[in-house]
Amino acid sequence: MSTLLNLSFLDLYRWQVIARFVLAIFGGYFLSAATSSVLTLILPFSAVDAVLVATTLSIAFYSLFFIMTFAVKSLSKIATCYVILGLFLSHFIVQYSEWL
Amino acid sequence: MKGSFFRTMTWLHTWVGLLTIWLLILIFFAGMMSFFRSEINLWTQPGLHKALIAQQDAKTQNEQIDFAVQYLKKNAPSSTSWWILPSNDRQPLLEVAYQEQNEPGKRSSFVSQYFAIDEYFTPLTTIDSKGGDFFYRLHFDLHYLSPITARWLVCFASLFMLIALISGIIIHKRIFKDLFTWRSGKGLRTWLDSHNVSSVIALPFHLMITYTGLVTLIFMLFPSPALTKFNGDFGAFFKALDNTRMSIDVAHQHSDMLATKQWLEQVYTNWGEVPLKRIIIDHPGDANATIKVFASTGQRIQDSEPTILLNARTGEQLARSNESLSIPHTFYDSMTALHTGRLAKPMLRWLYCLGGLLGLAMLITGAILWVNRRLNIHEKAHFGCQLVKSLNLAAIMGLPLATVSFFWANRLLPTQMQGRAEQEIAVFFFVWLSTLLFASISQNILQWQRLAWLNVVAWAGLPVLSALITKNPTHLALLNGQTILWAFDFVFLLSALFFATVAVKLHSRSNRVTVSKIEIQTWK
Repeated sequence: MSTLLNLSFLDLYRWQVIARFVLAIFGGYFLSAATSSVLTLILPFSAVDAVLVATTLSIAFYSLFFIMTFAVKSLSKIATCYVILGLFLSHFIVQYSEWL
Repeated sequence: MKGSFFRTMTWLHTWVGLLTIWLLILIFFAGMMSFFRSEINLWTQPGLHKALIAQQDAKTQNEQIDFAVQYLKKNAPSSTSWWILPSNDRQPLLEVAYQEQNEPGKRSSFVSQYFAIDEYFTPLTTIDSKGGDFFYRLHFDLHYLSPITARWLVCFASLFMLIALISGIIIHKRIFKDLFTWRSGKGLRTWLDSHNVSSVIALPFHLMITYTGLVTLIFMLFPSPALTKFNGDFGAFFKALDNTRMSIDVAHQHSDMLATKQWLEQVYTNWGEVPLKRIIIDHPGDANATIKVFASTGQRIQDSEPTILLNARTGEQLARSNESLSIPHTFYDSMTALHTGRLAKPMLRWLYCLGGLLGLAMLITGAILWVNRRLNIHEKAHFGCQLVKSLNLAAIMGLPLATVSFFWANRLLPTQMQGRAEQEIAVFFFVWLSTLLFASISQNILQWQRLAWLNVVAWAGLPVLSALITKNPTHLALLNGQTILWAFDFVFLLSALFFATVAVKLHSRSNRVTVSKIEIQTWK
């Protein structure tokens, strides 16, 4: 019985780690790409310059989201955060760009 | 996730680092070698060595270009593209290349010809070798993989490196103090100190090189901002970024090119008599032929060269770009410039190299630290630990051994061999794979010692071998002022000395190993 309990505990922990990595790698990518994309629509530069600055900053956003994914204690809280932010940013892109 | 924020960050630092550390060692190593790409190119081509002897009255840039155009007109009249690369500080010779027309469906290939910039433009012979370009490509294209797959892998590893750096800074409480802290002979503590010192001394370099490295591949990694702003049209973005990137239709009508002097004069009217990086003439002989001239950026922190596009028949100016960059553009472009380090004079180039070495030291000590810590916790090494130990040995001792083998192969393989360049690279990977197999048998100190001594022999033997094959020993190179050649010999011997020191250190360690086992047990 105790080994069974141990196993399920380990599995839960493992799944949580995998979930966070998936969230950080793919979710983080999506959010940073979306943030940079929205930034190109806001920055008061010429079109090319806005893209260059926003794209260059996207790595900083990615690192930030990545670290944040692991820093926040509750997995569900961070997942909710991802969904809300992702929806908001994609809505913005669809609204103001003819891409997609 | 793991209790406190600091503990989580420590956990993240360890695992993110461990997952990609060997790929990062390869990327860092190849990147460090790439700072000397031109120099390695020259070393691997003994036929070019005589051009390294300083010329009394070397030909000027204009004379070189004039000669190149005449040469190309005579030798490649039906080629679709001509390239002219005038001499520069790092490559004191003229390079002329043209695209060779292959049968339709096959990829066209470039034929290169080098000339000394002496009185007669003596043609120089080359052998089939990738030289420094191999390490440059290895840095981001790896090898035996499709470039796109490789670049995504490299980006992924670099991103993890950035995360490891940031989390490393977070968990590091005494950055300034640790600059001056190194306790020798204390086992785990010493490895940790070494890891800290190598990270902290060059921390700005590590952060810069990782971030800017990602910036060099940024449009592959993050295409969405450009797509958003340009409504899904990537081509439109690149055209707006550099308006000299236009494709001009061939007229299929023969026409003579403007005299070299005339179009050069037009270039100099715009820029003054600047050193030119390269000239590309597309569709020479056609009525719609174009001349694209790239100015050298010299020591400026700018990577995109100022460019002028001219009509080759009339000299009409079609487009210009990158002459004065806007501030946002500079924000992006300077990052690429810092990463590639093309702006570096020899002193700064060696500083770049030192940064790379410290980066390698950081990665290596990190990898060793992980194993040693595990060994302290679990006395018996499990499979994962075994694997990490083998990979460490293969990366740390095997990579230099593979590199030195590449140089040996460059001197030893017959010059007329079929697919010679690919064979040199095959030697590199064969030796590396062999060390991995060797390391998988056992990873004890004896194995480390054996590989260290093998490195000593290989590195120390290289100047001798090179002198025998090229008949140009170190002292002659020194007398002739062929700086690159004797500097290479010097670095080879220095590497040998380094591995000898390591081997001797390992020797005294292996004598002490029985003692330290008892130490570990008491420590626990």
